[in-house]
Amino acid sequence: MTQAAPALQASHLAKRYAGGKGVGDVNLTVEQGTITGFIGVNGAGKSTTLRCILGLSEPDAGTIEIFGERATFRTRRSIGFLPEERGLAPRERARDVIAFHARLRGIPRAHAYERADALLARLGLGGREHTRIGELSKGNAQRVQILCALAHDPALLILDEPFSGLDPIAQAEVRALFAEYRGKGGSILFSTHAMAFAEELCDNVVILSQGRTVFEGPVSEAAIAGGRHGAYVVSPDDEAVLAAAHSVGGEAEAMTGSTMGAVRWRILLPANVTHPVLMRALAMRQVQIFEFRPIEQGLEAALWDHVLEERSVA
Amino acid sequence: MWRVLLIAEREFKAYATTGSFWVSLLMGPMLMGLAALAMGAMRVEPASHVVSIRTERAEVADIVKGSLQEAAALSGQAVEFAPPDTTAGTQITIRNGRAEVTDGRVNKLEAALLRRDLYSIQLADQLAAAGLEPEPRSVPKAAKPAVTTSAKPGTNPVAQFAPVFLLWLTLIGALGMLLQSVVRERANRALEHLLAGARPAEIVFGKLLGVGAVSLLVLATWMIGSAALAATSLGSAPSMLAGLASPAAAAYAGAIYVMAFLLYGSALVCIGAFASDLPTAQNLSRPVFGLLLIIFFLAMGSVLGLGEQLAWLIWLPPFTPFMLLLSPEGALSPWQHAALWTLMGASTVAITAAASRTLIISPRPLWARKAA
Repeated sequence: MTQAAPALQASHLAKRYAGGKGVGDVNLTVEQGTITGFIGVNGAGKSTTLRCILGLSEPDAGTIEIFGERATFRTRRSIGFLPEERGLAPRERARDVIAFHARLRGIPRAHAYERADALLARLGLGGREHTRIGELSKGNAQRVQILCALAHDPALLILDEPFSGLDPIAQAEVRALFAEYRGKGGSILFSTHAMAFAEELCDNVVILSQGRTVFEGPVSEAAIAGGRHGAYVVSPDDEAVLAAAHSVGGEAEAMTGSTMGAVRWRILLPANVTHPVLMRALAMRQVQIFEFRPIEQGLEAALWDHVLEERSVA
Repeated sequence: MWRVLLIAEREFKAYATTGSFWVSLLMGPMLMGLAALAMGAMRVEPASHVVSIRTERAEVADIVKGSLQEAAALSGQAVEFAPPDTTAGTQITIRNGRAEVTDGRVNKLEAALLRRDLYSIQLADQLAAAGLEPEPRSVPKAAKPAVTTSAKPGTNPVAQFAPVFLLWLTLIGALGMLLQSVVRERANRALEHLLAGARPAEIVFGKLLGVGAVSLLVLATWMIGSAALAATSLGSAPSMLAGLASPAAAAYAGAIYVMAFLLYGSALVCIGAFASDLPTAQNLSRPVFGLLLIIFFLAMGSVLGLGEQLAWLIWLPPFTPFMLLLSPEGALSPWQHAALWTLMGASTVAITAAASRTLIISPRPLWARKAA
């Protein structure tokens, strides 16, 4: 029995824009029937990679295969895409815009409208079919945009930040929709900064740093690979925080933004140092603490691990 | 092809489903009607008038006719001469070197020229009476009007320029719509959503077709409004578009409009796709609109007597549609027509191809393309 070709495979993808931004060596695979998270800090190259995969930007090097075939306009038609910035015309009506995207991929008119109505009902927008996009709330407009990506029943969904702008209820509905879609055999690649969603939803994860793939594999492996954990500490006592972190073998880094003279610190700890040990070290130095939020071992820690490692290599 | 039509339908609906579009659409013929009414109210009496000249000397009658013809040519009117015994029209009697208008009237220019020429006759008579030989005086010929060469002899320059003006006006409006359509979708990334489902060339042609249909609807409304005005004989506005009266002429003008729209439209799509926001697009498109302004004035100059000097502009694709509209019937051979249309077509294809490439974010040069 032969193994099914991956829904998407990008190898050694490179794209440099004028000014040096872009990606240098991206590798990623989305197996059929799986959800893959695409994570990385801002500017890591996620959107550039997605644009190359979708043919919106031409890569300088590398190969892209969709369901085992070289990426062309025809093979890309099996992809449903949600761009990062939402660009629906305010005057368009919800069902019209969904049906338009379905028809653009060859779905007959009548079927496209039927499907639009069904999708709207599925995401709790039944009865809002004729509402103009400009009259919908931001969250509902976002739901309509997600439905546009699903309109032609694609075999592969590529979503750029699908959860941004959604309230918790809408986020839950969309997560359920994605799970249902995967249950039917669909494959998803989505970029996100929401690590909790990625851990909950994804089978695999691809971590991008400075335009390179630094990790690709199951979420569980990524979480384990992120051996370092730590805490976010908000405190006005800069020197004492640094001393306390160093005393337990950790690294403290000031983050942007301060509140009432206090700085937000990210302290990463070795695997064998627990949070109470750090708190004790801070207390011994009489550090004034406004906030203490643990960074648990997991995707977020893994991301930090990889990003810091890349930076030190650079 | 259906994707082109689908995108075109979407573009068309984006404008045609707004109430303001229909209001502004109907405003055009209404304004034209008002203008025609105003022109009708200000209309001067018919330009041609009949004159009979009574004099005992035949050479004086010739000189008077010459004076009146000169005045008619200068004022753009026509004059007809009736036999001396006719009672209709203006009757001028020449007695003792003086002109007496016994019926009807002469205008100030005619009076001045009559006075000038009758004075020269008196002068010649006095010289002859004194025994001097006056210089032979030729009968004044009808002077050439100050403004002469129009590309289409015998037509009113205003009527000749009207189709060019209509093309220019509609084109400017359509190009503005097209630019906004592309820039808006480029700025809010809707273009990326569209590009994920359609080829760049399909998007370019879809937008051109959709916005082109909107502008053709505007143009047709104006034309039909004009025809309705002609039917009600309201005024001179319909006669301004007399050059487009026949179906063949209207179809020819329509084809020129479509080609002009494709040529300039694809250039504007190119600029809109290249720009990241509306201010940038406006800055980048300024030279195109500047060029159109130059073309407008050169076309006007061509109508007002510079036709021969500017005839070569027809071979520059941006000028071709406008100069074709001004070109007199039969002035160009079929081969020249074929060459001009081929040139315009080739330019349009080249710019459309460039526009399609520009829709791709940061495309690689064609010579460096390699399948990914």
